[in-house]
Amino acid sequence: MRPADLRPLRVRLRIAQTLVLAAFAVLALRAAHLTLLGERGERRGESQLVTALSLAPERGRILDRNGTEVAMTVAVPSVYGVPVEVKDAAATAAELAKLLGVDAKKTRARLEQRRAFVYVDRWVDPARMDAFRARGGIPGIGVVDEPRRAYPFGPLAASVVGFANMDGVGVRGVEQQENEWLLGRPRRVAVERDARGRLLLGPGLERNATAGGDVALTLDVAMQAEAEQALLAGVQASRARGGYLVALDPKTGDVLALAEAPRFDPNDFRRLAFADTRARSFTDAVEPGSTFKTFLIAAALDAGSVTPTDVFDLRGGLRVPGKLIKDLHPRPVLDVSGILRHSSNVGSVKIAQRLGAERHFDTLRRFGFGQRTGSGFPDESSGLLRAHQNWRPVDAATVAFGQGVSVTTVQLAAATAALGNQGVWVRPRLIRGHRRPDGSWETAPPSETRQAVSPATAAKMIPMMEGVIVGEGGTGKRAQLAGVRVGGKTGTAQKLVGGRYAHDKYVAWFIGLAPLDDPRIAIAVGIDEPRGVHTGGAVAAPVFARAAAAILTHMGIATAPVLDPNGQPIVRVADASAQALPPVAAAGPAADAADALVEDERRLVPDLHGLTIEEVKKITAGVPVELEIFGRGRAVAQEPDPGTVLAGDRTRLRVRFSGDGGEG
Amino acid sequence: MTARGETAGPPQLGGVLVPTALLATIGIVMVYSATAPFALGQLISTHFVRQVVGLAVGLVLAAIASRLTTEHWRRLAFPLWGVAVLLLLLVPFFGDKVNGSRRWLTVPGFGFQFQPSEFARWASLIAVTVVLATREQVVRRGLAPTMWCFAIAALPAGLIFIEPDTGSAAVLMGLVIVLLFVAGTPLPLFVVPGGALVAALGVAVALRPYVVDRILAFRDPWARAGDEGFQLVQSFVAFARGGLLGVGLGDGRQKLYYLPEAHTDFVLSVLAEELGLVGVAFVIGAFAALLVAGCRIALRARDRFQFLLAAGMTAYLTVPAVLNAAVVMGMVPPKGIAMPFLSYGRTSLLVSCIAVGTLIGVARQIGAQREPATSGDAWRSWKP
Repeated sequence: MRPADLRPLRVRLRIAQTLVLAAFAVLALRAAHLTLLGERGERRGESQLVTALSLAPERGRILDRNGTEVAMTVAVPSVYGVPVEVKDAAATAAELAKLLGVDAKKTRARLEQRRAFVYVDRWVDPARMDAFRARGGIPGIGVVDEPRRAYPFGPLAASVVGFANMDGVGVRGVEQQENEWLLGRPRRVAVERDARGRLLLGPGLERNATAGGDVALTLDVAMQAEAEQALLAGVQASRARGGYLVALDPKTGDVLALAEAPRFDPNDFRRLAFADTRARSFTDAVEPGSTFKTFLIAAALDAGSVTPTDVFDLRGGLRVPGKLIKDLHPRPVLDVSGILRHSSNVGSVKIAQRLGAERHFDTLRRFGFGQRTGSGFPDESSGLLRAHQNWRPVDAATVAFGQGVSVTTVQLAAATAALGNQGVWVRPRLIRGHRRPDGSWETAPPSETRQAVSPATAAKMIPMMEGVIVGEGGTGKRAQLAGVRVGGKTGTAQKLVGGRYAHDKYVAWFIGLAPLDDPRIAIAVGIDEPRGVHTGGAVAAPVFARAAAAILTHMGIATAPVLDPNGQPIVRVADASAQALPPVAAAGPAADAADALVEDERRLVPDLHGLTIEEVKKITAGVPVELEIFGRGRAVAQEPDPGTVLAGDRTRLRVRFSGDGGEG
Repeated sequence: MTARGETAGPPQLGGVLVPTALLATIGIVMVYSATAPFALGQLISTHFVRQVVGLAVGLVLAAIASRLTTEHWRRLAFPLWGVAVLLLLLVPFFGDKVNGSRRWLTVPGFGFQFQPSEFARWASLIAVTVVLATREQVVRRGLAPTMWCFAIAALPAGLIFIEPDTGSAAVLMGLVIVLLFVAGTPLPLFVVPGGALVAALGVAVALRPYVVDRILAFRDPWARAGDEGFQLVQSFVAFARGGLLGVGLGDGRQKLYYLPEAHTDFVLSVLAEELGLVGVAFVIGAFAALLVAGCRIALRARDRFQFLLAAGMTAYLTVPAVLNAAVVMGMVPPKGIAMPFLSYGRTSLLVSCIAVGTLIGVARQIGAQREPATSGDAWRSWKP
């Protein structure tokens, strides 16, 4: 070894060392530049890190009158991707497609976006989530819990509770009516988040500060369930298209139960037609038929035009200009009680003529007909009651027995309740109280009241209404309850179809009060288009009896229907039967609505993902939207998103189809 | 040999040990901080534990390496290189596929993932050192030994390139070229490896279109901040947020998934955000000190082998640091090069420790050979 050899090497090493040291110096300068003068980076950092967040994370719950949750917000997992951490997008997408059932191509495209955060699948099914979790971690794929509205009782009281859409905005029912309260006051807060969009909760963020309040309904879920069972059983037995039932507390106006058929499950709102989710008892105005005679007679008694024992000669019917009024089962003479008991059209018209249009109309208005109840429920119909000045003689006659007017079930129930509350009409209400985010309750103020008829008149009506149930020839025998006095009135209304009365389409009504000694409930039941026997006494009265018995039992008044409908044992109706009801035709609600009703043009956008062009066309056929189709195959994208409420008549629905659907 | 100034003093181990200890300590702390987001909900970060264990094992290996003599290295060089090549050959068949490339081997039974390319980088340097030291006459004569060294490097580099790991392959070739340079290779001869490197880069670009994207992003990351420039922009954001003193250790935000590879290639960005310019300057200073100390050992070497071994190990420890910092600060195209001691990764840490151990071994040998004189003053004036 000759050490002298190293001399040139040392020179080289010094050169190399100097170069590397120079590099370090340059790096240090660069670092100084980036750290001290990197304003652009700082701005960017600030903007991406801090989000002005509109904080409304916890929508309030909806409770029944006893505090049972009927709508709440739950955390549902959504799967997201961090594309920069996913490097084999194709394999990851294929895996996710297998686990979550998402579209592999679409997912791959998302994962290749090189964004910081993309959704893979929102609101993942529990079963799929289990499979996904069992698979273990996939690099770049994560799970975040997102709030989702849940309705633990499913279809129970669904039309009253309504639902909130994907954005957490109430679009139906109480969810819509109380949306602001449930949302709470959104507060804009600057918060930091990580690249995956997760919030970094600082000490200043309290959940309660912005949480929405709870809403307690007047409904009682137990009574509601009984009422729905009774209604569904009645609808099923009469093979009807649907039905409505409203049970009120006559003294407070509290809606204790509000049942409707067919039902729907608000958890599936994304797949429902918006019109099918309306609360028919509020939105649908229907002719009241003979139930209206009750209020005519109350008006006549109140005005002193008649007394219960006044006798009318009914022979030969009655001719009014343009119409011959007749009774189905003519009786020669009847007193006022008898006219109500036998539901005589001729007698009613004669009473109406003695009363006079103006007084008749005024009393009907005081009973709440022809105007919204003011319950605050969204999309409530006012029904139709023309001003008496516009009544032709034939109108004055037909209004007496409930033709040429239309009412909502809620109006009918409230008017009935007034007779059981010493003539005092109480505005129906659905909201019992509000709970503030701090936990304190704000009880709803007592409902507005109005003296519809005098207490004396109401007292006179009670035995007359009882006569309908127990009297000789009474039409409402099937509404009898064991050990409890019941009063009521039947009705059978022909439905208007295209402006004419249909021969074979009826609404069978029953309105009733129980117990008569001190009425605790007022119920109005309508059965929509029963087949076969279609009278209120046969079809609606048994539903009243069953619902009233069940509700009274919950109040501690033991009773049972005396006449069981068709002698059948009372069976609980499974959900399947409710869904097996004939579907509501698209033209239905418009046809039986009188001119006061505006057709509801809003539609809920259905979830079309994965459907073929044919299927999409079929689904959107009855909906007034302009369908725009792009591509072929199966639907992979749509605008607007599912669950969006569309309004107006020229609404576009764009659907993009793609790929290997096999449909070509 | 003339015993002038710096070439004559005692090898100062402190010059190597102090910066190394500082860097290893900072590295452990930064790995703890940068992997904290992964460890949410865990009692203690898995990454941190692994890194600490890696450092402990690395210290043992460094101690062993420091005891090896020139003779040991001569004998071990080619077997080690052979093992490295063999491991690299195994990678395409048994490697763990991560993000589309196979770079890791799992040690059966331990679950320990091993990155053969890091080891191959070091082993190739040792092998090249042996060739350049033992055939000094030949080196001076010309092309053949240069080609030999080039071949020794090119085989593992090629295997690494097909993993694919373009950055690692390029660093390996670069380190060998540095070694050839300090070994006194006539400058005209660099035309050959230089030309080959340019050709290889051309092939790389042709085969891997994303390399072009990265280069474009490097030139103006802000223009493509949404995709190709994302990493760099996030790194700039980290530096900018850091400022002079940093936002505070552990308080960085950019590691929260804004910075891709925050705990590995971009750990310097996390450090910049949390410790600021002061922290970055400190790290750069530590590497510069390590460079100077390593070069001092080389300059005191008594023979070509010691000289080249010390120079090679110094280059092994400092050149990747330069490249990593340059990448992180957007001065060269991103290559995926770990920062020695700071980046998470046990293979890199272990081999870096071994390299430090090797360097210390050289220094000890130099000291031992000068020991026969009875006092420091005696060997200070020692002459051959």
